Amino acid sequence: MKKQELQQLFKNEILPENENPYHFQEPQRASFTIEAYNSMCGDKYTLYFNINEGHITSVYFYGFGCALSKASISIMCKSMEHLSPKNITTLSDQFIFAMDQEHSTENADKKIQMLQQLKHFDGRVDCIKLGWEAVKNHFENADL
Amino acid sequence: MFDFAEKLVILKLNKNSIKKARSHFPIFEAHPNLVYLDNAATTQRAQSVVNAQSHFDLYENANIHRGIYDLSNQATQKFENARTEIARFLGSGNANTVAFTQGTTASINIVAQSFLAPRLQAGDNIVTTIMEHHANFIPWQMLAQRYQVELRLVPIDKNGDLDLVQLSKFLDKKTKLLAISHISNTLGTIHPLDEIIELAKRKDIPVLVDAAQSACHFEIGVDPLNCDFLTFSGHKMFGPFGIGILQVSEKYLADMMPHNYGGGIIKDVKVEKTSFRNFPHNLDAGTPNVSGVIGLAAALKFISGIGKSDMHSHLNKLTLYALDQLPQVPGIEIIGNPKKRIGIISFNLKNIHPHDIASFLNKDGIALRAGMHCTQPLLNAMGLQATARVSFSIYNNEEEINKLVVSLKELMRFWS
Repeated sequence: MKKQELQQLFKNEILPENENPYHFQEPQRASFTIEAYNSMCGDKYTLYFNINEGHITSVYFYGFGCALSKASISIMCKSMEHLSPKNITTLSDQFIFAMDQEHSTENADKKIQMLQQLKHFDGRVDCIKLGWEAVKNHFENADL
Repeated sequence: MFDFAEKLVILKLNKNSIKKARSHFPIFEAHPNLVYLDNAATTQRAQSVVNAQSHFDLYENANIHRGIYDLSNQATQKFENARTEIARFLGSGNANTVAFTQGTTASINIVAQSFLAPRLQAGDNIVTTIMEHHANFIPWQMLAQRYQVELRLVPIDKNGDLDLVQLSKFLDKKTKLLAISHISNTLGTIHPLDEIIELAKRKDIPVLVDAAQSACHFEIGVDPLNCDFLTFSGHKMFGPFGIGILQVSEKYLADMMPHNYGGGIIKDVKVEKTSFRNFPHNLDAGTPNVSGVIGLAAALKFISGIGKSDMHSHLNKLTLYALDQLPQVPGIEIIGNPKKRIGIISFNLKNIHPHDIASFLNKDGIALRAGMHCTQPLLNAMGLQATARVSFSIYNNEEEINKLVVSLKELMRFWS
């Protein structure tokens, strides 16, 4: 990625999401929380899930991290609301798979598609995957 | 090959001499515009180091201490000559104080397992500081948990200097080791080792010094520093990866027990019992990294050829220049303001995460570090989650610091 491309990416996609992240606050209550922590760099978020009658009703997050991890988690939180835990597992699985594979994978959500196109962003893929991997690990081990 | 007669010329801060300094590092031929400011993580490899290693690998390779034939004897001689040269570099005439390890981390772990663990009893304590690299923290934490020993962490003040009053109070009859770095790998703080080691020595407490960040440009060694264990890595001083040094004072040589068992370290093996050689030969189980040792010896020769005091003075000038220039960047916060600092500066930019700083500066050809620098306890104590870090070496110059400042200013403009 050239410098100009990096600037365009941040200006058009990452910084708007980073400056106005979706549900970036600690809610008063949550059905359960998930920690997303990268011990190599110090990025650390808590994800707050509320669930009702088998569906996620809201997802909030709060913490510290880079623009990429924050933007990615913001997009993730929005995309996971109103899904069942099973569908969340599928979504996070597909996202991680798309980030790890050479060939491109389509996603109907344009913002998720934008994130997936950053799979070759040297040294920063872990930032993009941070929240998604935490969710994937949680739901894979949860008794759904 | 490096011409040692040119050694002093290359360090003057004019354009020609800097070009000469860089010319000993082929990486800058491959990347002529690279501004490499991550020297605290690893320095670049000098041509003479690569030459020494590859010459051994290509033309002199044989296993050491094993064969009767000429090639093996010559390899053994070269390996042991390297030990003697390294001892001399450390101000010692006794090569048997010097053991080869995989690096600083391995050296510290060997002291933890081979020297300290057998001496610990419940109720003892180990003293180290809050600002250590994890390599000089976790081994002691693990011992403390395993042997019910107290781990005492010397705090720092807001400037990033150690609280020496507290350090003095921590050292008592139950202290079995003081482990301390020479220079903080995150803040660049130079610890007043003379004063600190004197405090420990008055109470006959053994001292380990992590010299990973200082070995290049300070006079070090268990004798010059009056410490008992000295550890450092080859790759932070123009040498190869995977090779480092553990030097032990003569007082504790007999206390260094084998920690890794196998061939090469034994006097006699019977079904009932094995007896071992003395330090340092009781650490070399298996085949050591012979070409790494030869590369390290070449790196030390390179450093000696330039002169540590000139390197120190160059790094000091660059550090002062950077500290003078960086505040021009809007929103910058230099982390810490220690009384003495060299070679390493951590900073943050308002509202921009260090990883994002590193990504953008990378596009300008500037390589710097972002993250926690393996010092989580320090960052937690300072209320920080991460920092950006620049660290200098002999091939850096003021022009590169100017480029850094320009890039940071541009990033701040872009971000806002």
